[in-house]
Amino acid sequence: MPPIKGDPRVLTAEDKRTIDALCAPHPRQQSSLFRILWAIQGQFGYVFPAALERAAWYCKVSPTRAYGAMSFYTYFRTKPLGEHVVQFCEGPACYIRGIRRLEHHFREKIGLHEGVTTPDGSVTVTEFECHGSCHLAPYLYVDDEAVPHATEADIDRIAERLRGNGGRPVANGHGTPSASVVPPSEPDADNPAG
Amino acid sequence: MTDFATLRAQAEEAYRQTVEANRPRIVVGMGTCEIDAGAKSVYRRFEELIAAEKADVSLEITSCVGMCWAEPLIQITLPGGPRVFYGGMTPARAEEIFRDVIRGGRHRADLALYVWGDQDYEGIPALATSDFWHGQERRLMARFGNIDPENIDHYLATGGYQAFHQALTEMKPEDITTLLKDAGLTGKGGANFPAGVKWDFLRTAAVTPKYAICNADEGDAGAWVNREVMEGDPHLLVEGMAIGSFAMGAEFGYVYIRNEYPLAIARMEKAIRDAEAKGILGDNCLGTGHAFHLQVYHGHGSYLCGEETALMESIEGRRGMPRIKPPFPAQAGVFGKPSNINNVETYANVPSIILNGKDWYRSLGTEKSPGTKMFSLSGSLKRTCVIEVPYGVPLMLLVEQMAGGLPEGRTFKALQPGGPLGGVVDAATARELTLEPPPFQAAGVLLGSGGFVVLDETVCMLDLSRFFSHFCARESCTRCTTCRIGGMYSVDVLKRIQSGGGKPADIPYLGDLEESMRLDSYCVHGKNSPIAVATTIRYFKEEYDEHIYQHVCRAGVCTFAGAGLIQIQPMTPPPERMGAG
Repeated sequence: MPPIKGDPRVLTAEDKRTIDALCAPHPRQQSSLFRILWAIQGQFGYVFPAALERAAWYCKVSPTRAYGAMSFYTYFRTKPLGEHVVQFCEGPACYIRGIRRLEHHFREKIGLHEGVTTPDGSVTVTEFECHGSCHLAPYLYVDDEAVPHATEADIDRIAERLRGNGGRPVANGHGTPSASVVPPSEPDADNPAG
Repeated sequence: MTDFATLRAQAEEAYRQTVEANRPRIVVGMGTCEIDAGAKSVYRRFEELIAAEKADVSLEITSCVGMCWAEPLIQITLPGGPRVFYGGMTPARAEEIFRDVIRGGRHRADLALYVWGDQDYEGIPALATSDFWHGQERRLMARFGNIDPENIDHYLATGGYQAFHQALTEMKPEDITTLLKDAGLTGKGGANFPAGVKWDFLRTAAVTPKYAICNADEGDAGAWVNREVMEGDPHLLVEGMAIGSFAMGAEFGYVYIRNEYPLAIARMEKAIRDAEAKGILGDNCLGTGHAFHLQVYHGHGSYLCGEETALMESIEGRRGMPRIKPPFPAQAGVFGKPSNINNVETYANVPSIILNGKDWYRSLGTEKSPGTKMFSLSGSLKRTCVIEVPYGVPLMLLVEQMAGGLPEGRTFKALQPGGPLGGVVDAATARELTLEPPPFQAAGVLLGSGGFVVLDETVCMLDLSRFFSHFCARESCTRCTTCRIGGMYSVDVLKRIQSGGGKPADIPYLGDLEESMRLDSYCVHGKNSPIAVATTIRYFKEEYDEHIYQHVCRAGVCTFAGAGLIQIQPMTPPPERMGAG
């Protein structure tokens, strides 16, 4: 994914051409908005303000309305992901097995106390909704690789690997859900077991 | 355009060549849950082994059979022998099995899990008489594990699209809706509204075009039955919707699938493309002149879009906020046109009703809820699984027999049915429940979309209700004040109790919150989101009291470490401070 050059609020001629090409297959109506935003996110990694404005213009809605619609959904990102994405399951089966404690432990390990991405842009920590692999609880994804029955030792190992940025995780999944931009819900420092 | 008989004959021939070939078959289960468990590495290992030896072995894929606890699962058929299931596969075990079973020509009874059918085979127990299988009635799941879900020929050869063909050629739209009404098919997504009646609303609507929509936004955490259908037998849903389109006169269709199910999205898209290529869908379905254009619409991450009108808003490119009814979707749904929304399971039940008739459908289940329902069981269980049983069977049959009960040393404390909006019941009440909506309603919980999470003594009920309250509050669309603020207040109060600042007035305060959310919120999300708190207070009042008065958490989850964590003051502060607070 090419990084956005310069100010994300200003559309360069090149990006404009790219975005117009992404818009072109879709009819100019509001119901095309999300499909176009997905295409933009697929191309650039996230939806930057100027791109949203262009997409809104194409779909004949105001930029504020388009932003309002986009911000309702958790899969649209307004910031780029880190180099590695670690996602923790949010389902009840993982919850009762202490996934929040593992997430907290991981955040401590990589020193990410708030926000979703480390300042150096190496790791993004998010959550994903349960998709029914509950026999593996508690489990998480490191990039595309599922880590079933995760323990604190696993977390230490992953944190070590990602912090050192060596040993790139293998991509073998079927295309995991892309990470959401929702900030982690609760700090949960007050709740060590859950 | 070939006619349907030719189409099926070709498919049967192709299918027979795969199944009856005189060579060993290795079938690897490839559902989302199995891929997460490592099925792809097992598949690749087999691929390498076969390539290395140039062995005459057929390597195929299928979907999850419901035996999630044993995944990755494979099935091996030796020429002339039965199908044998091997669970818990790893690449190393794949090598072992390849060496002994494929090359050695004998099954390994010590590694094998089950053999297909009801006869034991060389010391391997039969699947049909096993605890897991016995008592199940697989109608929707009939093809699961038996066909390659990505191959339309397998579906056609096993009786697929026959119901659609029959409906198009032999039935009138009103015959279909009447048949569904007589069969008593109800919505499986939780509302239990009769599907035939709903289809009639759309059939009689005058405005065109009409839309048939499938709600596959299975947001309920802990339920994955819809995913199983879309991954295991995608054409079944396509066929159900195609019949629906004919009965309702809908020219366009959407399958709204949540983005968390990338494999289900891919398989549904492939199923639709394949069906179009065969002339089953499109401008001229099976040469009869009926037009149906179906497409997959994937969600963008919102629990609320499982609500039918929010889902329509989402398709139209807006925030997923539920609409005020009326007008109902059958009058003005998506794009202002008449629309019908049903759950995946509801549509998927239609083909077999067309083929087998109403009496067959009514032969299982209860008078009010005929038929079968799929359930997913997770949590503190020996066997996390997906099963299909008739309505009306005791809940404990699922938990104790099929799922094998709780792990050794754990006690059954509570059951959480129906996702975040479903509530919680204690073990004593759960033991009395039968699987149909009325007993669940009487217990104050919802049967919902079919997920059960079994909880043991290590789970704190306050912590759990805070988890669900937080989930619901976060997913609120924020239109109604009660839903927007009420959920966060519940979370705050529970947090305060958990950290040692509980007050006697908190419990009545939570009750007031529940009441105002239930009465004053517009959609089911707001109405049902306090249900977790309400039911835990109803069934586990003593646990709340222990937390408030004695600072004791039975499960050892809560820390009671300081009371200074309140961030928002409740609107009406609890009047007095008593006890140690």
